[in-house]
Amino acid sequence: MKQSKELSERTLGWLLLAPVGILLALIVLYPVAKLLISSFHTIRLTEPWLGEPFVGFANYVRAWEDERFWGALWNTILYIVITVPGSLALGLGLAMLANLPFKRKWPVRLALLLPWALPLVFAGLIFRWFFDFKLGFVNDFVSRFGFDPLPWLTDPILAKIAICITIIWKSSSFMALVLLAGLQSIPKSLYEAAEVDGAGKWLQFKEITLPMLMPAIFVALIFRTITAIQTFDIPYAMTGGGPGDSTETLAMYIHKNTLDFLDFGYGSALAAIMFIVSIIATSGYLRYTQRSAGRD
Amino acid sequence: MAQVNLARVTKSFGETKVIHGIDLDIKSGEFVVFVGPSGCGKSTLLRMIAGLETTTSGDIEIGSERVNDLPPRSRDIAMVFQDYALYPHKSVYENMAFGLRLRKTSEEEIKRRVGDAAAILQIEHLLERKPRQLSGGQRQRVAMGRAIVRDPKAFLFDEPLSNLDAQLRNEMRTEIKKLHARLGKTIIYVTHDQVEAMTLADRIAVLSAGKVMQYASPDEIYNRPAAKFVAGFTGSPAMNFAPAKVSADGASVMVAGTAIKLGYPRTSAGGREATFGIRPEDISVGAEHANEISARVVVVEPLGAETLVTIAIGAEKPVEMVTRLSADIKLAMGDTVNVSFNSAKTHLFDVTTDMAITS
Repeated sequence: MKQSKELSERTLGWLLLAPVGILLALIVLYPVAKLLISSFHTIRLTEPWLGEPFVGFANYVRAWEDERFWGALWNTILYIVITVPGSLALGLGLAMLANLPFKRKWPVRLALLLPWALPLVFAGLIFRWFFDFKLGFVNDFVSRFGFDPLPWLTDPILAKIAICITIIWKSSSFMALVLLAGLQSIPKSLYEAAEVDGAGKWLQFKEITLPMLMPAIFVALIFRTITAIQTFDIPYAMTGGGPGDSTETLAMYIHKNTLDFLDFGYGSALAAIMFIVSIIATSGYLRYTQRSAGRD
Repeated sequence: MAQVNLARVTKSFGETKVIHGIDLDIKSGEFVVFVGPSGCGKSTLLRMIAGLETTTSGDIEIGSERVNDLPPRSRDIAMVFQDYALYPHKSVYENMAFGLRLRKTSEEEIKRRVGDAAAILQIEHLLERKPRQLSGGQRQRVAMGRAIVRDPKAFLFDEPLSNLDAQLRNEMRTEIKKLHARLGKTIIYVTHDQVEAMTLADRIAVLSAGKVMQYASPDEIYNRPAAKFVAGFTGSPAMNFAPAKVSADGASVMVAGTAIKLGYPRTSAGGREATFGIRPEDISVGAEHANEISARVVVVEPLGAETLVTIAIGAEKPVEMVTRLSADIKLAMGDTVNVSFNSAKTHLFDVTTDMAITS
């Protein structure tokens, strides 16, 4: 009697969980599973007579031997390594600026929000005009100091620099918003206590702001890293991956393979690789949150 | 150890003046309490002494050095905050050592001082813990420890006990008093609790609306309040007040149609309206005193050791007063009793200025 009651409670539990389980399966598990399955098949819409044969790891081996894939991967890593710390530094500065006791807070908050609210492609297009060789504001600025105008978007290195600047500008406002929330949760009395204890502004920043802000910095870094892995819109709008494929990212190369070349099998394999890279980055975050949860 | 002097100190936030020309002298080693209701400016005044608020005008001196333009870290004071303001990411030891490290104290000396302070406050077993692992009372001790290790010229306490429950508050109050006796340092302590003020202070500054109403010993404040505000703020239950008419010779007053003799004549107020005041413990019931007055018992509130009895005197427009009686005196609501007022402990206040009438 007792056992059947326990069993029915168990069943009820599963039943109650079922809607969420089904929903998660539909929107998370199914697409990921479908992606992984596709990556082990040849699916070329340009050659439909081939069918969809199972090819094992052939698509992954192809990626391993594909120089353009490595180029795109290195570009993506370069954008991560430069723009993530860059937007953190700029975002922290902006957050601290916005946290100053302004009489009117909303213009500052609005200025902070605007780059974030702007669609990525628009940001890319705006900066493409900024960096334009003939008409751009950057070259105008440079030439006012007596320097020659620079081929910002047609030189492989300069194009990377221009893209990084744009990404940092665009993403630092998100960083600033997350960090501003963190800053505002630090009690004012801690700064006063430190002030009485003898700490100047720099020491207050080092000893109170930074350690107290660590959780917020970590969350911001992880979100930013994941979006950096998926960098697509800004280089797409600014250079289209050029000159050549020197500024192409992994996401752009996946897009090219699936939507331009209609090679869904190979595109899926590349997307699976990107997925694995994201998982590795996220696991660091998960480990951190688990550790801090255990500590409390 | 140092004296603290305030001369004509004012503070304005924009157009709003919150501190109106305060003069105070705090002797070296003295325990001074700023007390007053919320918004009276007591915390602002303390923060001005700490340097956390600027001083609009006037002079603040710590140890005969004018500190108006010095930042808090150069004033050599230590402060205990209402929310303790312990650094959450540092251990108790590091919290206490932080100020010393910034002053380039040697590691050996830091260890000794933190050890000594921890021993005084009985928190030696907590040194490795983080603030979040401590109870409210323990955090309070750590906050005091952080102040003690610095060995500053003066300690500033900003409502340090208001976040604790009643029992712990009493315990910590005793601890603070012991600490002062042991260290002998100048302490400036802000509270809205008159019991804390009365029990802790050598001298109390009673503040109201940015002004010092009276600055005197607890005994003086309680027994010779300079103003009706001070009289009403100290003591629990508060002093009884009643509208009164002073006799022509100033020797007695009429309250609710009843004549009450004053301890000494107030000739300056002869024949005028005034506010009569008497503390609950200075009204006795049934005793054989000179001015016995008939009264009706309105409410009886037994507290165990004593009983608070609200009585009404006068027939036409009765005036209610609270008395504090021994628990042995058994009274019931509606009883008629004879009460008498201790003439020596009667007070008289001006109806317009609210200041005490003393001559």
